[in-house]
Amino acid sequence: MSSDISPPPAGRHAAAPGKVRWRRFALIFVPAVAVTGLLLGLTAEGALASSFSISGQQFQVSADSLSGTGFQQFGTIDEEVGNKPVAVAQSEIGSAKIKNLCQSVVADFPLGLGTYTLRISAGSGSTPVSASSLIIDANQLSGSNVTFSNINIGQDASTLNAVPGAPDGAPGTFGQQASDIEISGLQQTAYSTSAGTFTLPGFSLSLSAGAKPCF
Amino acid sequence: MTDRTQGPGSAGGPDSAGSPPAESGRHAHGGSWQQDIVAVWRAFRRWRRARPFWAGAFLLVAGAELLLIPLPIHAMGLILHIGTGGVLGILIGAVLMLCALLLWFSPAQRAFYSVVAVLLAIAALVASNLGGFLIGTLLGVLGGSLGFGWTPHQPGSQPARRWPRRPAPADNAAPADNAAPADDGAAAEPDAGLSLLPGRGDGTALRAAILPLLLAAAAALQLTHAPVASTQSAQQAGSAQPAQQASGCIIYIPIICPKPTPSPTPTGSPSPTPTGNPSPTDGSPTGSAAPSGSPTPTTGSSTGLPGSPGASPTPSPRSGAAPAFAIATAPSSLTASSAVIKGFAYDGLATVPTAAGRVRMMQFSMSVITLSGMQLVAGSGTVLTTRAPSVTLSGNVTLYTTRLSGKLLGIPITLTPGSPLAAILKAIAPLTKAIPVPMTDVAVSQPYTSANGMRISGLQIS
Repeated sequence: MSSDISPPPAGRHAAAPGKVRWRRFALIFVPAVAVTGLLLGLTAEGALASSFSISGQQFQVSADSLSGTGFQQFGTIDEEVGNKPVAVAQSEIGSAKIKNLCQSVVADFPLGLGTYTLRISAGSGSTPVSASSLIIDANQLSGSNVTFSNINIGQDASTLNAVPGAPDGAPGTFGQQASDIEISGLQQTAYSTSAGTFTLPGFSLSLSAGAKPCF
Repeated sequence: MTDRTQGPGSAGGPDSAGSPPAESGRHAHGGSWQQDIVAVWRAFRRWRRARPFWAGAFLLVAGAELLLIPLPIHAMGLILHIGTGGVLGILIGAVLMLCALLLWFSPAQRAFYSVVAVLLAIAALVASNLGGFLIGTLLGVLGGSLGFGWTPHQPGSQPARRWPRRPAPADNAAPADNAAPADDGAAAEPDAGLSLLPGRGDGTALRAAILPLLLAAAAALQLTHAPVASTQSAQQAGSAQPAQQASGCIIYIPIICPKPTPSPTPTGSPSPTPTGNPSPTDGSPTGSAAPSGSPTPTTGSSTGLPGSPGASPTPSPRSGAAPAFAIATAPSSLTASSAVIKGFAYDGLATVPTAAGRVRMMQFSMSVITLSGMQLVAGSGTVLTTRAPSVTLSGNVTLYTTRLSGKLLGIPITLTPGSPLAAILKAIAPLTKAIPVPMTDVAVSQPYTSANGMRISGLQIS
């Protein structure tokens, strides 16, 4: 960050250098950092909802339990450039309460910079994470105990209507939907996710060296 | 930032920092590529110093980070559902990068671009992936603040402006000007050569620029009190939430305002009450006499539709919510090492809608079915497989299929819509309803199943 080490050459006033004046800098920076901290605090309190949308990298999601209203799922294909298409189960949940949520991305940096893990966890306390309009494309999904209410299996994926407004699958595709879903011991490997709103009570975000995924 | 920029007076001195005179001396001899590189580098350095370069650089990185996380570059099929966070992430990222370029190429308006960048970077925290997992927000705040703090060297006006304010030697000027409580960096900074206050117009801009941030801080502070009250009542999603959100609209950018609060209200799910009444679905031509989802076995057996394959039962009334109800046509099969079926009955043939038109399928009804070693394979080309060691479906279980095979008491059987066995099975429906039917090596083609409830242990989808 050493921008201006030497003075300008003589007689070049037209290209005269500017500089950062730190009082002016602090005038914006200090309140901005304060507001950022405040918003993070509100997020951790669960008072402020966040929006999530990740795509293009593989990540893991795990939770002790997920209780959702409005569930639909169908098979689709994520096409990665340069790779062969991946079959994924696209799960859509209208609204969900999630206990002990963990999301992790393991990134392998080139040039010997090593492997790092970005990990978000939330909802480990008494207040669960709540999410709405949750869409997850997972190529692996497992749950130790899963309960569905009012389930249809084998419904044409283009006619799914358990989650209003959620994208449906291609006509003819195998789909399923349920009015309610309960999953315990949820683990999935996902390629993309998006959530309209996500409250993350007691969230923590950590970046650590090495591969330390959720499961 | 180790800015050692000199004041206008001392900057005029040709030998203030050593290297430039030597370089220009070599340059005079001219010719070699090293000197070209030096010339290009020095041109770039001049260009860099004439604008808030590092501010723009940080903002570019911040914007790219925010934009790339949700951007479906790799997953081409996902563009349709990147969601609110994705759209906002891409938008905010793009505007941050735009601010960076504007800071570089139109530095005169830097105060405006900087404040917009800082506000957007903070908004990204709420709007998109926690501000790119904090990285984008922090880089954006840093870059925007640097852009705001940057001031150009103004050789013409400098002495005139400084003169009445601070006639002291340049070296003493900086500490003396630290009237406002600023951080250490400000005090340590050799501000000697530059005016510490911008021009009059600039000062107004500065105050105007800080106003939104102060407002944001105040509103956010106000926000902190409301949640405390609501968490005390342990009802976070209660009526207090819309009010908070409404007040939140002032601070965060307007685009965040329409974001719905997380509400536990059930979204329009399929009706959970399967009716015993004959409810003809509008899609079915001959459905008026068939209560397929009947809760009691006797009703089902009495309307067993003997001998009239044309009088096909309607699909389950549970799917009545779906006017376009259709069964998937993609190849699928369900297998199980063993199954125990209670209240089992073959109801006859049904004409069911699919995306490829109407198809005749066998309809079975049962009260409870327990599958062991279940495997469901669906899809053509790319296949999704669902496995579970134990699956139980219960309550008005209805199964439509084109082919069912398995071993009943050790005897292999295969049921297809035309097989004579199907007719026999329909005839003994009262018997099969009364006793649990054990089967092994079950295989079902093109299954469509609906049930009031389903319990799976050890679910694996891959």
